[in-house]
Amino acid sequence: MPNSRPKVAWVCSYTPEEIIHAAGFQPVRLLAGDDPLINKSFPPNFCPYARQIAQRLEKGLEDELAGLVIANSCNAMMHLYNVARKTLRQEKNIFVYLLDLPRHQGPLAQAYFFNRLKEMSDFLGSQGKAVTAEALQAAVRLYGQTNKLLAESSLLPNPLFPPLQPLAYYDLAAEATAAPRKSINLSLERKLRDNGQQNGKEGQPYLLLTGTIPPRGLLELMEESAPFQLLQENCMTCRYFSAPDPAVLEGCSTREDILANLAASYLTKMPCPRLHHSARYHIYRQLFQGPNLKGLIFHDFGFCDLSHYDSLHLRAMAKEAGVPFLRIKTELGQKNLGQLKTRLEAFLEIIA
Amino acid sequence: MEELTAMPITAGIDVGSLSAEAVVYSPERGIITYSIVPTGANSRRAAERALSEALAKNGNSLKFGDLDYIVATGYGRISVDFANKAVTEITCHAKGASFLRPGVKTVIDIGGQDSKVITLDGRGKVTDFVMNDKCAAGTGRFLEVMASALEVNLTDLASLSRKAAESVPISSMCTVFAESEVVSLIAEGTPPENIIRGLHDSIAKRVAGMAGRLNIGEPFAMTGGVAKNAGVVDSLKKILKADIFVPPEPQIAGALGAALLASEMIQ
Repeated sequence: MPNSRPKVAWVCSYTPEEIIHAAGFQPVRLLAGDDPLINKSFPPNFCPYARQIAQRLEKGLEDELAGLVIANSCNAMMHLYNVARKTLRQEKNIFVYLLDLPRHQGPLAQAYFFNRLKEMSDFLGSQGKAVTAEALQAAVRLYGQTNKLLAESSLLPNPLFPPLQPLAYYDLAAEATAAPRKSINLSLERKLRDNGQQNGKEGQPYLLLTGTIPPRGLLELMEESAPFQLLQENCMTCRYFSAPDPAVLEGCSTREDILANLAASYLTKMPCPRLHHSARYHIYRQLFQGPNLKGLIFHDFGFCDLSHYDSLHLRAMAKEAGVPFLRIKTELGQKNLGQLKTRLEAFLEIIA
Repeated sequence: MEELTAMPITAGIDVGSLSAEAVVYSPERGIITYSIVPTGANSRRAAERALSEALAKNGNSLKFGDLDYIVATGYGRISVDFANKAVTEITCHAKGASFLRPGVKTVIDIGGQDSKVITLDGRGKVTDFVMNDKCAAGTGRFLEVMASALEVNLTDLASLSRKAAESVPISSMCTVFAESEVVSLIAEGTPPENIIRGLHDSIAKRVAGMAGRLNIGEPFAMTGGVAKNAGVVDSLKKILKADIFVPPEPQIAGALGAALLASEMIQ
């Protein structure tokens, strides 16, 4: 399906793609590549994801973009914003927009985020098409359709339990953030109709993978080795496929109403560790009490403080609940994951 | 011969980065035979060689066909296509150490190119582990490089270490940087014994650091080729403030564990 919309990239799952789409752009997510990390902007002991993206910008691999939206989700993203301003805005006149994010979830945070989304809509409108209520409604329906399809095929009303196998779910996220959403929805609809429920089955044992975005090879290894179904909680899976249900549009007639709903919806989705509230840990506590969670695997790519603190907290919680915990570390761009095989298999042997 | 073939006989093969070991076991006779061979460039061939050497050592009274079940372990376990099953070396070392020292709660395994600390429930079941497989720091390969830099035999490291008047701190654990540091110390006229003691202490500190991430407890056992170096064991005992059980042939603990698991699997 040809797509003539100019591309606007984003890097954090708290960036509403709906607004980018409503402004006439094709939202695309910048994912880490396989290149060895030798970029000049950041030291080696810095967030490898930010380093990978900076490297792509330095090499001119993203020069076809019309713009980039960076959510101020952590210190590394602020530094990435500074690099992008130089490499894209100053040198190539590609716009770079910083979206400030709250760290809390309550009404004040939602009001704050609503104002930031309004500013973002105005800015993107000035670069593309005006973000109208109609355009926003169409975008919310389009992006919400993906989640609706997943939810309708899931046996459990929980994005942690998707109907797809881990690799298929991961690939769906990678494709969905790169291709026009209409074609993704059509292909997902077909896949779900043909294959039915593949994963997330109630009452069956499962392993839960969380932490930073895992390399695809790690999921292959897990799918191959794990005797249980594998569920994932990260920003490639349930944290991403949590966009608002199109039902939020009911009763929304103005752009402001829709943006307020978007702000609320994004701040109440499956939260990431950067948000200061206990909803995520509450979900984990409930999962730990269930009989089917056989082990928690935390993936870490190093030099991410938020992820490190999260791993310590989850480890302590898992220990208290008697749930086996494994922390595995990979380096972005690492192709040979053979060394992880022994750790993973030994962990599975403990569980067995 | 009839009596032998009537018993369930199993084999465990541990294909490590530097050496491959095979153990042939039966519940009635215990360890029937074992062998240790260099791994070389081909893991499968090393496994075959280890097993045939073990069988030959037993006077060829047992043939490959007499083995009822084979479990392969170690980093080359996947290549052993004639094994019935592959199990990780973490589970196998725990099993082997637990057989050799019943009730063991912590196993320290330092092999050719990796090191592990494994905690057990006291009945041979692994409860947790930490593993360093990213670099050769503090492993058998590390000691080989240092012995070469010091121009001493690997097997003499322990006795030389015990003659040291003091331990010279080695600040770098990276094999490449530590070698440079050792060469500098030699050039400064530092007695080799003191350097060796320093190297042993630095390995012990690194392993103790890994162990600190687990809920370790006594009794301790040490397996793997580096356990043959009494200098490292002394340093570990000192830093852990505990006695450490070292089996007579610590290198075969993984293969023994694999043979024991094979025996359980066939039954």
